[in-house]
Order: sequence, then structure tokens, then C-alpha cells
Amino acid sequence: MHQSYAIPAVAAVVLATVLIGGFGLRISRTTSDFYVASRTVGPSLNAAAISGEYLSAASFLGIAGLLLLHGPDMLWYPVGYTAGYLVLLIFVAAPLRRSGAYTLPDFAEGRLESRQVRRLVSVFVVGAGWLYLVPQLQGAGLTLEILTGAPRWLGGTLVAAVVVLAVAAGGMRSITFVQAFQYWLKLTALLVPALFLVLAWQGDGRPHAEFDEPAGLRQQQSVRVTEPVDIRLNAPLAVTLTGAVDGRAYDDARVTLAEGTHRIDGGTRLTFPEGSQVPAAEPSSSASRPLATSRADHPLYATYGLIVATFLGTMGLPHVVVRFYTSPNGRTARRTTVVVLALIGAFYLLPPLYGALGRLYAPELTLTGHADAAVLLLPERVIGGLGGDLLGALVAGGAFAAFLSTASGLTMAVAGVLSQDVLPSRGVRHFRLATVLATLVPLAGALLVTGVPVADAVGMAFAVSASSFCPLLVLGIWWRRLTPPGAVAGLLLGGGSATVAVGLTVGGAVGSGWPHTLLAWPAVWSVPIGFLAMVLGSLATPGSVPPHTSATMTRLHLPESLTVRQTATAAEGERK
Amino acid sequence: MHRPPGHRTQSEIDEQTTLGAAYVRSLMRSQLRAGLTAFGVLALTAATLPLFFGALGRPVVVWTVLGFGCYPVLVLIAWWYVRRAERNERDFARLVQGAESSPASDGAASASDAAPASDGTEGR
Amino acid sequence: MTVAILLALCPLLLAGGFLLGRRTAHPLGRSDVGTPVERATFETLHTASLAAPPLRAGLTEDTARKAAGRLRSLLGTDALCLTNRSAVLAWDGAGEQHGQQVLKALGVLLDTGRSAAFDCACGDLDCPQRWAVAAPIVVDQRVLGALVAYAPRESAVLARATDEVARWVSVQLELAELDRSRTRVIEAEIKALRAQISPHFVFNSLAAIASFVRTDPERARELLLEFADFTRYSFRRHGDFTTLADELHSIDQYLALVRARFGDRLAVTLQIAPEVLPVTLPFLCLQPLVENAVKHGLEGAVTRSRITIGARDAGADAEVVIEDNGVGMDPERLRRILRGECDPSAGIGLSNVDDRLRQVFGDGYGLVIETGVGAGMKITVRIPKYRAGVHSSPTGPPDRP
Repeated sequence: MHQSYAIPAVAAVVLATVLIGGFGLRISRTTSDFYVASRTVGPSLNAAAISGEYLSAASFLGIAGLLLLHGPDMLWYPVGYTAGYLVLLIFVAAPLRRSGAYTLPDFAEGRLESRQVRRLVSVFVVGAGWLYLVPQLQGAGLTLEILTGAPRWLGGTLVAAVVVLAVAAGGMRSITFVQAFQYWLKLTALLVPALFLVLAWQGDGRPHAEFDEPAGLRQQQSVRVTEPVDIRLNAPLAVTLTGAVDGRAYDDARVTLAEGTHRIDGGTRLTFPEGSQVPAAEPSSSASRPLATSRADHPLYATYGLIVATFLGTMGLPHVVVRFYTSPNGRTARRTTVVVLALIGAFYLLPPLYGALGRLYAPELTLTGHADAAVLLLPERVIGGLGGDLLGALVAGGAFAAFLSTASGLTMAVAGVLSQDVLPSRGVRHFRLATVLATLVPLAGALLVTGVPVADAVGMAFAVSASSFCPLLVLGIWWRRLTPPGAVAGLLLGGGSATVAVGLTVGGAVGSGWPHTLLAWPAVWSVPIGFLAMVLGSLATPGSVPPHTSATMTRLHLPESLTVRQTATAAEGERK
Repeated sequence: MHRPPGHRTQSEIDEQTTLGAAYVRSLMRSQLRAGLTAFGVLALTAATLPLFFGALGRPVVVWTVLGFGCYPVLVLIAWWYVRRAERNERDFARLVQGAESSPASDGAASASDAAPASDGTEGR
Repeated sequence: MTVAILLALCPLLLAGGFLLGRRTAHPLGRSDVGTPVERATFETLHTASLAAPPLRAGLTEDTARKAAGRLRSLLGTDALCLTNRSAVLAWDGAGEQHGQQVLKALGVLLDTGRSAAFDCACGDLDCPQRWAVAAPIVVDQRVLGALVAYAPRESAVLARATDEVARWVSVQLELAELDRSRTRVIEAEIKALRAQISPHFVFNSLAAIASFVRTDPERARELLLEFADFTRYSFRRHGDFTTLADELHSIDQYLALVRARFGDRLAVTLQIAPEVLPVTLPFLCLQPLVENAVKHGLEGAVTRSRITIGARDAGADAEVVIEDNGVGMDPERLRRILRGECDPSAGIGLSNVDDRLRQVFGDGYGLVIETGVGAGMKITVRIPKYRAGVHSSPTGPPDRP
């Protein structure tokens, strides 16, 4: 990939982020008109901001990569990310806003009137936030590696540093205008190249990809395999090899590999002639693709696991919840969510396009472990020339915007919870300390744990969120008999079991088969456990129902029109 | 006037009348019904689609349905739910206001004046 | 197969959830039950704590009656009586006939405030109360009354204990006095604050409005509406909390009225992050600060007074800054105002707002004021975005107006 345009694009995004972080205040409204100053954020602006913060590296790069690797079943990811907002709208949006809570711990404390539950929820918020931050930083590392050949740790560290600077400097995260702009930037960065790609595809004679067959190469292509991989050949294949295959070393030798399975060592370079079929990578037992393996074992279960996790997990993501506070009331929060659905849905029309074109034009990426890079490589590969480079630079800038906005939103949310509920005392200095802590832990995670595809890792964060926060929010809002002990039981059993499952999967403790599949996609069983434990725990402790439940429920559900009108009639009464 | 933090405001204590709770419960039930209907449609679709795709075995259908077709449906369900939820709230407001302002004639006048103003955005 | 395993796991998990719920609901008590001495201490403390609440309401016949029983079991005597300066308030235990003579024996005690012991044999030979010890109850160096304990014979232990208990009762009563005066002060302050809006401001506003009645009736009408809205907001009776948006709206109305008087001499700049508009804060806690800024700005020799009101997002908090370029204030004087030691006209607004913010959000959330003579003044208020129990919507019950 040519670096001459991509690096300035990335640099521009990073620089803009730091500047906005440092001088964030300057661009908030300055006026002497009270009417303008006290105008609250409307649904469409706030929705763009929510979408901007929400569309992460997993959406920008990960989905296309997974589509490239595993085919159309992966389309459930974007569908789930979007449908999650529908579930949030249906059960949570308006009551959560009316509760006046800024964070999930706030909601837990306000609803259950218990500091213990608040503290436990804080722990889960921090955990889920960290889990979600890891793939952001990994994705940044990968992007920078593809663009410049820099070592993989550098990109993640760079994003982490920029986020800490921007957040600690005191700006960026909450400025609605900035996050809304990020949405439109990301949309443009995918949409414009996509238009050109489709045009190029049209000019190419509109070839069709056959998804159930191995993809054929459209030109001579050389591939460097970074990690050991097993390939299965259905027919003999002639390749030029530099490296080791099946334990034999080659140096720029032309070899015809026989039908059957071959093991290619890491660092080997293969050059395929034009028109040859790219061999399918065997599901190997290597730790690098745990989820891919389990998916191949039990695809239907994996799909359901994904659906449950994403549909129910969105409502608990810390950076999403925080944004709803900006809505002036519950009714606006509801309308905002509908707009978010539309905006996110519009965005998610694009990554599948890249995935499909990737299968056509860059099928060799499946071998390299760099499938997430498809979006970045396609413009150069398909269009080429100066135009391809410029479009590639646009995509790269968009990708970095995705890392930065999501990472800063998450860091902000996690740091807020850390400074409020975990670290001893409060104040600006502590908030900065919390920011550093909120970034360092996931950075360490990103550097230590490699090889989990970006979108898969995000899926795990969703699973934890779905099994802990979803029961808490849904039961907290709709069920009067929820008690603090019940909530604790549900959080610990549901969220705890999901966390343990994710930990075991990432740690590679369970190799293969059903146990591994169950652990890699925990939501199917951990969400029911969370709900059941919460309900049964509450029914077992009927004496612990919070004293003000009735009043809290009234506040959560009473429409604004009624409260406002009552104030008005009360005022009316006073005037007489 | 001054209460230490953590204590409830007077107005909230007032809210705990049994009659008030009954009203709120009825509102919650109607909202939950709307929510469960929307969620039921979503869950049923999401539960059957993978089986359907598996039985069909044609990737093109998966690409079309999941890649393009489902987003308008999601937005449609959302739009239906919001309309329904706001209608529930409006009906509830009307119910409560009717109950409270019928004895005092001047109060009823001001309430009915206010009602169309806030409902104006809906347009029935 | 797996389904079977899952099904088998379910009951286990359910049982686990049940047990966990139970455990968290009823944490195990201390297994160590303590030594006899410790138990006695606990009992004493418990009895004392039971006696405290009635006393915190002041020394009356009713509260004395409620406290007397507890105090007697605290002292372990047969009889005990509580008096004020003129009458026996409560008698607990046997031998109530002694009550008639006790005041005579207390004369010296009530004058000097020193404990006394006296024999008190009465005509009844079976009466066990033969000796009494009396200790004064002193609040604010005034003897309010006495605590008298009766015993069959002289006892130094009882004398000492009575002394201590009387002192404890005094402390409780002193606290009661403090409670009452604090409530009175706060009530007075809130009244003064709301009243402060009226006399000067109402007069000036109305005068300004009147001046427009002939020249610009339309403007006069608008101002009058602003005035009505503003006063309605200031005097509303329900709800302690409001949103930043509403408070800003009221400030806008206030400034419109001020501008009607001073015209171009006052320039106001706003820098409000829309993200913090829904923040909930104590009712009328920014308006006095703006009023203060206006006053300082217009007092000075500056031809053009400039006020900046900023509100920005600071994570879990919102930060509101009100700045003026007026005469400023001597920091030492400001400190005294905030301690409440200064003449109330100077800045009751400031100290009242400071008190209320600390009361609602805790001591970390008081006003931060930067000022100097002639250097203007910058007031920073931090408000947490969420605090349990702080809700703005003045939601009345749906079944009642």
C-alpha cells in the first residue's frame, strides 16, 4: 500500500482530535442570546452523535473482514448492532432518560437504592468497557501496520496516547457536534470509495462472487502468510514458494502442491498465478482463530449466540447510555433512538459491499490473517493509481476516526465510573489518573492477546453486557418486585458466567468441540441465567424491595406532557 | 425545604398514594404490551431466519435479506413502536386530566386548551 | 446431549441464585458475642440512644416523660425525676409523693448550677427512697432544670453517675437548641433570599416598566410578562430542584428586566454546552450569583459591565462559571461572608447558595470564588450530573391536581 497519502490522512485525523480535545470548549456555542444558548440538543443531532460514537473499528473494518473470511452468515453482526438499538428503544430509552441517571451505576443506585449494587454495576461497566476497548486498540495497530508496516503495538499505543491526551485535556468526548461530525466523516469515508468501487466493478463486467466456492484470483497475486496455516486443496495447485511448506524449505521455487492438506509455516510467501483458486484455510487448532473454529463446528449455535448478544447487549454499553443524558426528556430520547436506528442502518449498508468486493478482488487475505484490512486495501486494489491512493487515504482517515471516537467515548465513560466509584477521592487530578488507568489496562490486553478478530472481540463485550446489564435494566424498569439481593445474584451469575466464559475463550483454555463453542458464544445461556437468577433472587427476598419503588416507577414511566402540564396548572393556580 | 442528600422530595412521597400507583401501573401495562408486541415480531423473525437460511442454502438470499432488506424493517418496527408508545402516553394524560379537572370548571378549560397544543405535532 | 447437560445445570444455577439472594439479604451476624463488659457497654449505649431522640426535641413535659424511663434504666435507680426551673416535668419509678418537696431542695442548685445531695425521708416508713442526688441540666450556661435520682441509702457511685447522665442530657438539649436555631436560620435565610428579590428588585423593575408604558407600550407589556414569569418561578412552592435549562430561563428574564433599567451598560455573554442543560440543581441557586455579578458590575466605575455565564461538561459533573468585570471584593471579607459573619445585606445570596449546594451535594461541591478588590469576580459551581434523591421534575401525583 502506498503510504504517501494514507499517513497524512491519519495524521490529520489524529491532529484534529488532539486540537479539538485541547480547545474543545472554544467551539461550543458562544452567544448573548439565551434562547440560542438554552436550546437543547435535538433528536437528529444527538442521534448522529450517538451513531458517531457507536460505529467503532468493529463496524468500520471488522464486518468486511469477517464477511471475507466466513461468508454471508457474518451479516448478522451489523444486523445485531442495529437491532440492539430497537430493543433499547422498546424497553429502555425513555424510562432510562426519565430516571435522570447519567451512568448505569447511577441508574442502579436510583432504582434499587443500594450502594452495594451500584458498586457491583460499576465493576461490570469497567469490565465491559475494557473488553470493548481492547479490539479498538488492536484494530488501530493492524491498520497502522497495513498502512506503514509499523510494528503492531505502535498503532494501539498511538491511539491510546491520543485518547488519554484528548480526554484528560478536558474536551472531545461529550461535545455533541464533534461526535455527530464523526458519524458523517465515517459515512463519507466508506461511501465515497464504495461508489467508485461499484463503478469499477461495473466497468469490470460485473463479475459475481460464488460464496460457497473458493474464490478465484483475477490476477497474479503474492501472499505472505504471517502465522502458520493449514490449507486444503481439492485439486493440485501450482505456486511459487519462498519459505516452508509441510516442513520443507523452498526459495523462490515453483512447486505444484498435490491434492490434500498442507501446512504452511509463518513467514512463507506464496505467489499464485492468475485464475488459480485461493485455497481455503483449514480450521486449525492454533489459538489464533478460536472463534472461527467454533463457528465452523456449530454455525447455527454461533449465529444464535451472536444474535442474543448483540440484540440485548447494546443497551448496556457504557458510552451509549451516557449519551442519552443529553436528550432533554424521555420522549425525545425515544425519537432520538429511531433516528439512530436509521443512521446506523444506512451506514451498515456499506461494509457488506466491501466484504463482497473483497471476496472478489482480495481473496488471498483469508490466508494472511489480515482479513480486517480488506476495507483499507480494496480502493488501491480495484481502482489503483492516484485515485485509488486518495480513496485509500480517505478510508484510512475514516478508520482512525472510528478508533478515536469510540475509544475516547469508552475511555471517558470508564474513567468517569473509575473516578466516581472506584478511586478514593474526587477531583480533576483523579479524573486524569482514572483516564490513564482506563486506557492502560485495555492497551496491555491488546498487546498481550492477539489473533482474536476485531468483530469477534467486540461480540464478547456485547455478551457480557447482555447477560449483566440487560436483565438489570429490563427488570429494573418493568418489574416492581426487583430487590437489591436479586440484582446482585443476577449480575454475579449472569454477567459473571459470561465474563468467565470470555476469559476462558481468550485464554485458550478449552480447545474445541461443544464446550468451546458454548464458552465462545455464552449469551445464549448466560442471559437466561442472569434473568432467572435476578427474578428468583428477588422473589426469595420480598422484604428487600426498595422503599421508594413506587415513586421511582412513577418517575420512570410518567410522560413529560403530564408533568409539564401539572406545573403549568399549578402555576395557573398560583396566579389567581 | 432543606433535606440531606439521599432523602426524597416531598412530591415523591405524595406520589405513593395507592390510586396514583394504580394509574401508573395501568400505563406501564399498556407500554409493556406495545413493547412486547414489537419485541415479539423482532424475536420471532430473528429466531426463524437462521433456520430458514440454513434450509434454503442460497447465499444470495442471505446477502439480500441481511445486507439490505432488514434495515428498513427495523426502522419500521421502531417507528410503529414510538407512535404506539406516544399514543399510550397521550391517552393516559387525557385519562388523568379528565379525572382531575372535571370538578373544577376553570381548570378543565385550561387543561383542554393545553391538550391540543402539545398534541399538535402528532396530527391525527 | 448438550441440551441435557444444560437442563441438568439449570436447577443447580437456580438453587445458587436463590442461596446467593438469601445470603446477601441476611448477612451472617457476628459469631463472637462479646464479653459481659462489652455486653453491658452495648446495653448502656443502646439505652442512651433510645433516650436521645425525645430529648432532641427539647425539654418539655412530654419529652421528659418519654426520656425519664430510659434515663432511670441507664442509672439503675428505683426512682428518678426531671424538673425544669419551676415544676417537676416527669417522675419515673416508686415514691411519687417526693415530687412535691423536691423543688424546695433544688433552690440552691438552680441558682448556682452545682450538684447537690439531700436526705428525703418521708412520712411513709415503707418508702425506700431515703436519699437523693440532684445534678443540674445546663444549656448555654443557663440552668434549665435538674435531674434527681433517688436511692435507699447514700451512694457515691450514683452521685457520680447522676452527674454524668445530667451532663449527657445537657448535651442532647444543647444539640436540640442548635438544631432548632439552624432550622430557623435557614428558613429565615430562604425567606430573606426570596424577599430580597422583591423589595428592591420589584420596585426597580416596575419603575422601569412604567417608564416604557407611554413611550413603548409593546415593550412594557413584554417586560411585564417577563416579570410575571420570573416572580412565578421564584415563588413557586413545590419542588426543591430544577434543571439548568429552567434556571437559565429565569436568569434570562431577570436580565431582561435589569437591562430595561440599565440598557447598554450591561453586556452578557453565554457559553453553554447543550449537553449539561438537563442537569438537576437546587432551585434558585444560580440566579443569586448572577444578581451578585450584576450588582458588582454596575456598582463599579466601569462604563460597560460585562458578565459571562458559562456551563460546560466535565465528565460526571457539570461546571458553571459566572464571571464579571466589576468592583470585586476583598478576599478576607468574602471569607467572612461565606462563614456567615458579615452583615446580611452584603452577600446573603452567596453564603446561602454555598450552604445549600454543600447540603445537597456534599462539602466537595461548595462555591469556588476567585476575586480581589477591583479585579472582578469569578464564581465556579460544580454540579454532579446525578445524585440519588435529586430529581428536578416537580411531578405531582397523577390522581391529584
